[in-house]
Amino acid sequence: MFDKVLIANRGEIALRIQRACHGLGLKTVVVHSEADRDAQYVRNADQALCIGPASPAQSYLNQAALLFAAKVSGAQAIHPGYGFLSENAGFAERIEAAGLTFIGPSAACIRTMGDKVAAKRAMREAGVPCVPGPDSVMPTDDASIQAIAREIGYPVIVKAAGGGGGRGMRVVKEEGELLDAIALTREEARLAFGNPELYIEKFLGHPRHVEIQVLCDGHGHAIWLGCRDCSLQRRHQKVLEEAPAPGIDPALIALVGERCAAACRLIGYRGVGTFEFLYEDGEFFFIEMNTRLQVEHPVTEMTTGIDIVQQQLRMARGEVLELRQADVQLNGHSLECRINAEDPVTFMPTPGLIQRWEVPGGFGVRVDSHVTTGYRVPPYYDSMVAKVITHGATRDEAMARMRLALSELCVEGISTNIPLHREILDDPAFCAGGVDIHHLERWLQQRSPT
Amino acid sequence: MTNQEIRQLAVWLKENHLAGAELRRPGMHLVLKRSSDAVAVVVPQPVKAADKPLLKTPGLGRLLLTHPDQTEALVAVGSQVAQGQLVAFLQIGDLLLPVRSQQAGRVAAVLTPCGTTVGYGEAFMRLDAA
Repeated sequence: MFDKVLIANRGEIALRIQRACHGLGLKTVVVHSEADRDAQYVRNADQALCIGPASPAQSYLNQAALLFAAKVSGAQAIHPGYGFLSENAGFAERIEAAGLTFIGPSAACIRTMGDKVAAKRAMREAGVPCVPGPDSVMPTDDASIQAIAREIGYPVIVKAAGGGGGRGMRVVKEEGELLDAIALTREEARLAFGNPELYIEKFLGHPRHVEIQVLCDGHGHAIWLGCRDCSLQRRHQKVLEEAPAPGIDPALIALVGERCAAACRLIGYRGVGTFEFLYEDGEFFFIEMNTRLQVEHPVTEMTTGIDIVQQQLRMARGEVLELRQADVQLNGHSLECRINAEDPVTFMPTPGLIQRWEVPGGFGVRVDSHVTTGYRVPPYYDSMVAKVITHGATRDEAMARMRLALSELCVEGISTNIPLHREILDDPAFCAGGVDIHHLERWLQQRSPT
Repeated sequence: MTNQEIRQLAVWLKENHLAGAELRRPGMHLVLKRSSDAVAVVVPQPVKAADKPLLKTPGLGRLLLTHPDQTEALVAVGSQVAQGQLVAFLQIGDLLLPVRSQQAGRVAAVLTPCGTTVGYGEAFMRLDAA
């Protein structure tokens, strides 16, 4: 069992994991690039090691350097956070081969879920509702492909098996466009993911993005921790998330949640994970599973009172899950605004020196951030600098607390998207709840028709 | 921060019998240390680009200046070093990775003791340019 964890990530999530480790009495080794050397969370680590230059390929994605760092520091486990190497089955295998613990599911689970066709097949077998369309490799002859699309019914969407997160997909409205779209997507998939395999699904016109958080131990226990609505997206990047998804029958969510937990037991899933669904006209459709901790996990923590990262560490240590489904009580409503160092109108990143940094506080307000006054936002990585999370007994209360929190958040020196969040919280459609995944882009288009 | 403000800080340190103070702000780092009688003001200047070349670690590990099976250091202060010459090892478990000098010169100083755990890009040796 490990007592020293190497955190193979940066920024707010490195700090979040470090807090969870320290809360459990575990020692931390924070690895960092030259660009992150001076960050406060690096100084707070029990041990810090520079693993390479600023470029992610030579630092946070450098598997050999990470394994060397574990060896040199004596860390027995590696937490990958999100992004970077968190869903890399090969990395998980190398860690286990080195006699260390990868804090996440098995490499086999990561690999199955990374292949969207295999994932869909596994989910269908487990009784999780999926988007209409076959869960097998697409046939090669044109007539069979056209027959499949006709059976599903247009419009359809052609997706890369190796894709995910909104990459490698194309919508086809009628049969005449189908074969050209497939040829193009296949070529893109081969270049981008090294896997030319495709599949076809029904295209949903106005879905919401609703996801279920799961928590599993390595002893066959799995529970689900409620749902989140992450429909507010721009270019497939989530902007604002909430828990629970407003306006959906809790009984339906419970039904889907139970299926997700059952699927985890079936595939022998360990740790935390998220089942992502499209929700349209009262139905859930599985799209993919994220086999890692997610950015938006705090809204689930706020509504369940469960520290997801601590649980993840405990499951990786081989503990038996003490929580039963009946212990999971969903209380109130929670929102999360992702604060990015970017222009609120053009969305161009705005790296630079933060001259003043004042975070909000008070009842029902939480800020997860690695930033301190004098912090320099590096230009090499994701532009997220903070997550502002609020909780209230009702959605209205959580929104009111968020408006207040955003008015207290003071950032000087760089531009951020705080003004965008303020406007979203004044948008009548968002306030009513239940907007679809295209709402934010439509709204932005109307705001500035450029 | 003006010189007058620094002087005022120094006076307060003396009046309150404090040994020193350290102040960090964006773009500024001030350290004040008081000796027993006089008040010593040390304002570190931003490090001037070294005119003497520094050798930096190409990766992380335990820095060894001597091969574990040998007694003599690979190079010592005063040694002449050629470009590409082996000057140290990085030890990671059983693995020994060679560290070679990026340039030629005479070793002016060894900045990191043998056996120290180092990260990437740490200056461990200073040369006098050849």
